[in-house]
Amino acid sequence: MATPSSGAISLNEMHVEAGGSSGTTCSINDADIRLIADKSSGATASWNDYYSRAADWSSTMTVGDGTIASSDGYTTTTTRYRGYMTSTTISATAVPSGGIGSMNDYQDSDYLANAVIDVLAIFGDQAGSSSNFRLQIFNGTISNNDTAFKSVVVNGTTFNRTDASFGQNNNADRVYTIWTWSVSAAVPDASSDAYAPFGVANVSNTITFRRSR
Amino acid sequence: MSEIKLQKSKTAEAGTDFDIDHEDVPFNKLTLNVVHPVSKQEIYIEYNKSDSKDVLVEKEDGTYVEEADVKYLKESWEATEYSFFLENSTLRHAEEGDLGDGVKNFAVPKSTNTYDEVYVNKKLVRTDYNIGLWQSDKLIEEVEKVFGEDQEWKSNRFNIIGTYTAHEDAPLRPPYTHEKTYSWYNVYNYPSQELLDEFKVPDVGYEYHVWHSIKYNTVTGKKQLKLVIADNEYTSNYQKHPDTFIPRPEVPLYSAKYRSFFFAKIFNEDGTEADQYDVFFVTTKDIMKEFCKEKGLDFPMPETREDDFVWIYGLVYDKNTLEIKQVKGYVRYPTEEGEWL
Repeated sequence: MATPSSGAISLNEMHVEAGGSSGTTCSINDADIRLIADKSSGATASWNDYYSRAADWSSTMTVGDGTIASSDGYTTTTTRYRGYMTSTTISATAVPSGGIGSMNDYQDSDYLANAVIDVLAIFGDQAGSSSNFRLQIFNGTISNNDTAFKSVVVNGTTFNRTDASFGQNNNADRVYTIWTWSVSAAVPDASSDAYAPFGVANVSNTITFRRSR
Repeated sequence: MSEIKLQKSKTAEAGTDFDIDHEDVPFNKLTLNVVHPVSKQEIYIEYNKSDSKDVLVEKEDGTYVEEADVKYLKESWEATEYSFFLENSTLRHAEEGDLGDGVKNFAVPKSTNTYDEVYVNKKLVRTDYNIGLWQSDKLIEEVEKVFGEDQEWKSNRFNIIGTYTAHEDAPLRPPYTHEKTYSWYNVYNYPSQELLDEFKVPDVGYEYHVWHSIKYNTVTGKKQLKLVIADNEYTSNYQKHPDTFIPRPEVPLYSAKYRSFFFAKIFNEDGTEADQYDVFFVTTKDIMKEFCKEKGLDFPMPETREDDFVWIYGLVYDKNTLEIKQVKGYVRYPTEEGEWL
């Protein structure tokens, strides 16, 4: 549970959010406590800097892969998807039949308003060199600020929230909020080829959401 | 150009909101409320820091944006969403035998049981039938009376063949001169070198699309080759590539989707090129209507058909003057009960 957004806040609350045990010895300059407010050692910090802070949320994804046929007029292409996409019917994002990949954890009370992740995947047209990396959640009203997340690290690559376009529809059959990052990356022809930020399909990648940095 | 002073609002057509980037630097972002061109649902959008910076103007008394920029962003989004809808509705994975030699990564129509109607100035000017339909056999017979078995017509089951109907207010498009001209499209195949040589097409390094057409004029006995050319650095950058640059008229805003804008040139058998080029693009009915109105052009679709899903629009234009000669709209229909869109 994140630290309070206002009012009194104790060092113990910061310590517990950083992963420490309640009531144990700690200091404001401990590395784990500094991390939740993104402070370097010895840096000036105020109590306010620790409002609405949360420890990082890490999840493990078994990376999936799939394709969808597509067409513009006579022109037809195949779009490749890599990452996780739900098998549930969703709006706004085309999903390969049956979804792709899986995660060991799809929601967290301190991130994304505790909404379920429907999509965390990259996709682009095969033979093209531009892709979209997309996070789509089952929530149509969340605010686009650091309380949702500040950045997400996917297999070592960081995506900052404010670099993403943001779209929201609270009237869709399955309401959604989407963050989309434009990525320059060659789109592979096969699931056995890496597709950044993910590697090859069917391996595990670590996903870490962060609110402090 | 008029500017709009933006308010913080999640419901305004255009608004602004405050945010803090990953380096804790504050900035204002552009927000829009848009309507999806197909579902008609309202969608709220916030632009990222970089894109917002490109269009927002910060003044002492507030944050502003050019009205034209808002229009551009909204229409660009609508056109792209429209093309996403089309592509996700009509095609499937290619199976063995669907694609010709060297053609990779293409999807194919969900059905061969379809025909395309082409409209100009609200009149039906051409119907293209899938090569497997009985209507195609009739057209092939007409071609073979003059040209014999000039091609392996059914080499690909997605090939199509069609013919023309001229109207007083929607005449044959130039350079065609007779209604009894038949267009045979060889689909999912690059034009062979043999074919390019037959029409003496110079090798300038164009990237051809995976379909091309041979036009059979059964009155004159002449053939023409229509080649479809991708728009890329070689066709769009005159300074760097003056020899391959393709001049183009002003076109409406179209989908940002890869490959949704391209050209076509028509070659005679002696290697000369027709004066008319085609440019094709995917956009919405509303954008196309406004473009036609602004340019004094005829919107191609009749009222009874304009809400059908036009999968592509085309302009026929003079390559020397860039004057637009004709505006075309293409719709695909199933021949009998069945799903298409």
